[in-house]
Amino acid sequence: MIEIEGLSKRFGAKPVLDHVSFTAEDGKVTGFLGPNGAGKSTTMRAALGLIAPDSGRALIDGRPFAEHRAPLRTVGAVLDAKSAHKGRSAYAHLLSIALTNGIPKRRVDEVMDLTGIAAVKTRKAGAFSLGMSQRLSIAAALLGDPHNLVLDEPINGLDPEGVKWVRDLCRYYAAQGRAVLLSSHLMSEVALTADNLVIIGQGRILETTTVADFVAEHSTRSLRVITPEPEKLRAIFAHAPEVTVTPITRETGDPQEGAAFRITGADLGAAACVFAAAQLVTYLFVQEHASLEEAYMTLTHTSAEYLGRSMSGATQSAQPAQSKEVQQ
Amino acid sequence: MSRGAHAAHANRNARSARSAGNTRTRRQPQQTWNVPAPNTGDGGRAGGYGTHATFAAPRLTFLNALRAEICKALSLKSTYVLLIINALLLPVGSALMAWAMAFLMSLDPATGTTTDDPQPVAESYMWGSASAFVPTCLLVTGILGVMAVTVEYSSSTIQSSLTANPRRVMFLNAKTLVTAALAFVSSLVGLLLAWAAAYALLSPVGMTPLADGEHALPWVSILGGALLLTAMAVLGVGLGGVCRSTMGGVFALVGLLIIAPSALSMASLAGDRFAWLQSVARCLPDQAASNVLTAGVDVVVSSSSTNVSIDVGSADAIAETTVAATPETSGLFEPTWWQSGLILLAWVVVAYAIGAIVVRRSDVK
Repeated sequence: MIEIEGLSKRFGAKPVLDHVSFTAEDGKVTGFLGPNGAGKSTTMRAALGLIAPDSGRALIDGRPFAEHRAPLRTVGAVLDAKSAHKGRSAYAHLLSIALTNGIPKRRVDEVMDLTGIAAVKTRKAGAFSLGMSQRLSIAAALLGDPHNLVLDEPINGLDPEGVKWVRDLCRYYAAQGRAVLLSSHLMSEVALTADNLVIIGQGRILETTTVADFVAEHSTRSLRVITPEPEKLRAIFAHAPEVTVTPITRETGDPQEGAAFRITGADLGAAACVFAAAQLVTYLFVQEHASLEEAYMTLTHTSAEYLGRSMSGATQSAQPAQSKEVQQ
Repeated sequence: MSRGAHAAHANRNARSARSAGNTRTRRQPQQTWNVPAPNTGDGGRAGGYGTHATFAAPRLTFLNALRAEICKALSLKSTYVLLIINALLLPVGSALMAWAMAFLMSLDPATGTTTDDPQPVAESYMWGSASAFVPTCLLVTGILGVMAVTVEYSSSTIQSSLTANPRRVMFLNAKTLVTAALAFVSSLVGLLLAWAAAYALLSPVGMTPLADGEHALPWVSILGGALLLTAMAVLGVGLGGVCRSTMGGVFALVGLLIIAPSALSMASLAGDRFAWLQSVARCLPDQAASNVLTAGVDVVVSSSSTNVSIDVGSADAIAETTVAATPETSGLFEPTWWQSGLILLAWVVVAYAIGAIVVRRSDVK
């Protein structure tokens, strides 16, 4: 279990963490989500004693990390994809870490097999691609068969197989009653893997919830309709207060004629029957899920520090139009 | 489709049979990313990502930290390069000094031509030659020490190192001990070779034995030289800890060993009012080391990291083994050789203490 209690930290004048508190429970994968520069890495480093917080504390299994007798048995951490010295062989890198805690050589071979880097055992870490380096970092984290996993963006640079492997790894560790803290800036990835969700922005915890609750709350279903008869459409739902009809902008690929609306609060089948009965002409009639990514973006947009400028310049909207990127 | 399902089923059966069969230590067939990870619904089946190897409970101890540091040091090319440079530079320097002296001794001072009957050299000169390049090599072992720390920071290995061993002072102590041991062995090998080289070149010329009161010289030249170089490696670790960047650490080292002595000696020439700066200069590591190496014997070996010079013009002076630049100005601090040793020790202790404090307190980003 990883308990973060009121961590605050400034780098110079810049506050990086502002009273960050949350718990990564045993038996759960805790997704730690936030835009770049939100303080995810700083929090994880503070939890491992790499960064001394100005106030607050972090406990791993009830004690500060430095007080554990076998640190690698307590926490396996992936903090940086490129964690090995360029001129050192992958094997020597892992062996040096293992030796620190008295872990035998055969465990080094074992984790190299597990992460699929056994074939490049003697190659210098500097010759590794980002994905291979990431695997090496994960291998180092698994050396002590730890009770807690702290993974800072572990899927960066991994191929789809690797991404799936990391997902299974997290699930497996959680199923064994261990705590997994997984940071990411991708909502879709966390939604697939995590049980609990901690969302951070500009050093503050924005929301602490479970993935299930977050999905229930944010993935409301809606209907998107394009019709040449907007008045008729409004009339149909005029006396149904639970249904809202809002005009929206057309998406790429939509029919160019007619007006576009989003209808929330109406069931697909019921709406279809009513439209048929009312003889409403529609050019487009689809059901949509609001994307989790979109909900997350809305939540963190105001606190995102490093925003890229929109390429087209035309789209001023904060929410990207690809709402069909739903992953459930 | 159905064939695939059958295969999967058979596979599962095989697995459960195996896990039911025996629980002793076994190695799974090579597991790669493509092998499906153990199902979480498998009900606590042993294995998966956990270890199959049975081993004593892992534990962080100083001895384990030491073994890790040995592994780290010996798996980097830069370590070998520096150790070899150190072990080769010492005999090369010694050979140069001894050869030059052998050549001078073979000259007839009256005619300037070579004679077949060279004058014998004082044995102290041989020991002086053997340790002649110790002040130069201070830079090499110093860099070894600096880099022992800074490669960790420049490659972000420090994160995994401190995650495996969050006790930073223990981490630094282990690193220092390994670095010091490597520096000592390489220096000792280098100095023994240097002695051999000096002996080989000077014995044909003939040597007058050591005078009374000079008998510490062999020990100080060889063992003391190796210890001086080792001390510099520890000082380097301290500087590396303070700077935590290779550039910064090496520059600090160069400043301490080369720039500061030159600057002080130049400034002290500005006038009598600044003569006291020479006293300060004598407390700097390179001059302290040079003074230790004399073991109180006036050996004409003027060598420091700044200038390794043999005054060819004054062969007579060298033959009489007098120190060319004995300070005439009185009132200057003139430490004895063992006082210089203590000064150097103070440098090492202070630099290491500051380095350890900085490493302990600084954030690893």
